[in-house]
Amino acid sequence: MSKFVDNINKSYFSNKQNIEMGVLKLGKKTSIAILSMLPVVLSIVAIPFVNRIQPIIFGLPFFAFWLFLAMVLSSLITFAIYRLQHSDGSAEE
Amino acid sequence: MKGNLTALLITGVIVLAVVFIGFLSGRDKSNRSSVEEWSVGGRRFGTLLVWFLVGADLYTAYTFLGLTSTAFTAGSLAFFAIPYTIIAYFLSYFFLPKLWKVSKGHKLTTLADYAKVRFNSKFLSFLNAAVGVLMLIPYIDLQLSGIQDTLTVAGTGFINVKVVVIFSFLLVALYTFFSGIKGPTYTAVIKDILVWVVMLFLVVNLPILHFGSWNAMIHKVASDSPKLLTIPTSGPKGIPWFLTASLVSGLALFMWAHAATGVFTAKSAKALQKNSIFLPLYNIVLILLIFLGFVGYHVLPKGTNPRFALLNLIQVSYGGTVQGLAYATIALASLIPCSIMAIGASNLFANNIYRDFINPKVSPAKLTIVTRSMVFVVIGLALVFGMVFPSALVSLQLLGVSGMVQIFPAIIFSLYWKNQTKEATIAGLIVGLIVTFTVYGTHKSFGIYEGFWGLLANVIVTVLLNPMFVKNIQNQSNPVLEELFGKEDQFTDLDFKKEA
Repeated sequence: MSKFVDNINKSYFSNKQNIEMGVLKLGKKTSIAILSMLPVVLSIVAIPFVNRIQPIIFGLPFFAFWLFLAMVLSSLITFAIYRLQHSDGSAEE
Repeated sequence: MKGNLTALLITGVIVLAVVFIGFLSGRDKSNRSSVEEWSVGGRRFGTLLVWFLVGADLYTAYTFLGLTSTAFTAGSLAFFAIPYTIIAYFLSYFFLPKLWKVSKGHKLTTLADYAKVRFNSKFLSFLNAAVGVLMLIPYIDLQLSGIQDTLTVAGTGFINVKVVVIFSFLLVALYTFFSGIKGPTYTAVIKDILVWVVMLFLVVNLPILHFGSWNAMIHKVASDSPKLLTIPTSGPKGIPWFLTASLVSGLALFMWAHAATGVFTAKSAKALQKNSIFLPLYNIVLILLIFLGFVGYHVLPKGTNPRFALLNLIQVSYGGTVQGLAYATIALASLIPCSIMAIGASNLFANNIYRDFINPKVSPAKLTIVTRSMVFVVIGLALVFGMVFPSALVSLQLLGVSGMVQIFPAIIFSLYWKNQTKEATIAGLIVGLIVTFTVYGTHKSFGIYEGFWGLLANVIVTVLLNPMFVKNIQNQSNPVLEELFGKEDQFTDLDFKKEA
């Protein structure tokens, strides 16, 4: 578990420059706004298109697998937003 | 079907032990020294405790029994619980810290408290409290039915189920009265660990027991009953229902009084943000659990009452010790959330109805004892209601989420929309409730979740009426508005539009 978090931290830091460049280009607020759309797209908008059984992945029918994926990704996206908001000293909110 | 004595005894011993711990965790007198201590633990809980508490709040016996029974009868519609919680946790990341800050600054313990100070309106606060209590009591009954079903399956032929149910709920009322939020928090840790261990065991073991392996189970379900594995594309509940049910339930989740109570125990806004990141982990077990409904569909005899799908599946498959552990887990998942719900409802009644309308001059000490005593009234009402008006109860339970979501504009829009007026908000809330009840009563929901129509009407009315009243609040300010929007008048409606 903590290894998992470490890995996320590592990949975050190795990508930090990229993220910071992205932030410079887009602005922090825009990046957060774009990230904010994703969980809704994954868990609501996409549903009609993933309502199928095949292929079965990791023992889960595709629909259930998709929901599993959406759940994990949403958690990671929330984490990414958290890191963006708490970077360079802007601890507020 | 006859019960299982071993299972019954194990369940009884574990539940009593946990209730005892509930009493122990509140033995320090300071826990009941003020409403803030008793109901939100003095706002001292870190990320981990809040995670356990909110998890205990939301993943109840009804979640386990209800989802498996939905899976058993309606197949993949049960999966709506996943997008629903994704939406709920994700949005909560943004609004909970704001709400928490205001509540901390002004010593608020309920959402109705917030509505009162945000809008300078006791009436709006009353409406919020009334909806909260009205919807929560039937919800407490759902928890009650969780433990009742457990005892019915395990105890038939051994005990008088009704008497034991009444006894166990009085016990919960007593320990809630005594320990306040500390009781359910510490026992929630035990309950959650049991939930993880037991549910994961069932999810791994039951498919092996009945089909040989998880994959064999999936292939069997996929070839014999493929309908279970996708959402129906026709019929009264299809994809539109699935999507609107997920969305509305997601918006409603943190409007429940017990969820708000859990949130207000946090010691910092950051703890809540971290909580939003980690809460989705609970769903891992939920997704897999839904498959147990499919297992039940293939294993249990035709004509099994869906309500007992999971319980019967466990009894048929194991009996004895494993059944006892599983039933104890479900019974705890019934009792502990019930305790938090009782705290939430008592708070609403004591603060926003009793203090604001009946006895405004009540001293803090008296208010504390009134709040605590309300636990008995709330749980008593739930018991009486469940026994006297069972059919009204079912309607209110089905409408619970749809009703609760109607306070979303009052509580959440108002965090972002500076010029939101109390008049428009009150009108929207009332229209939203009327529309929800009408759609439910006339069965004209057009394949959409009832609460969605209500919320739509609610938002339209609020937005359309608001300009008529905006001049009333010009140049008006209060500490909460200043805290949310700053003193200058530079805020636009942009933030609100993005959120909506």
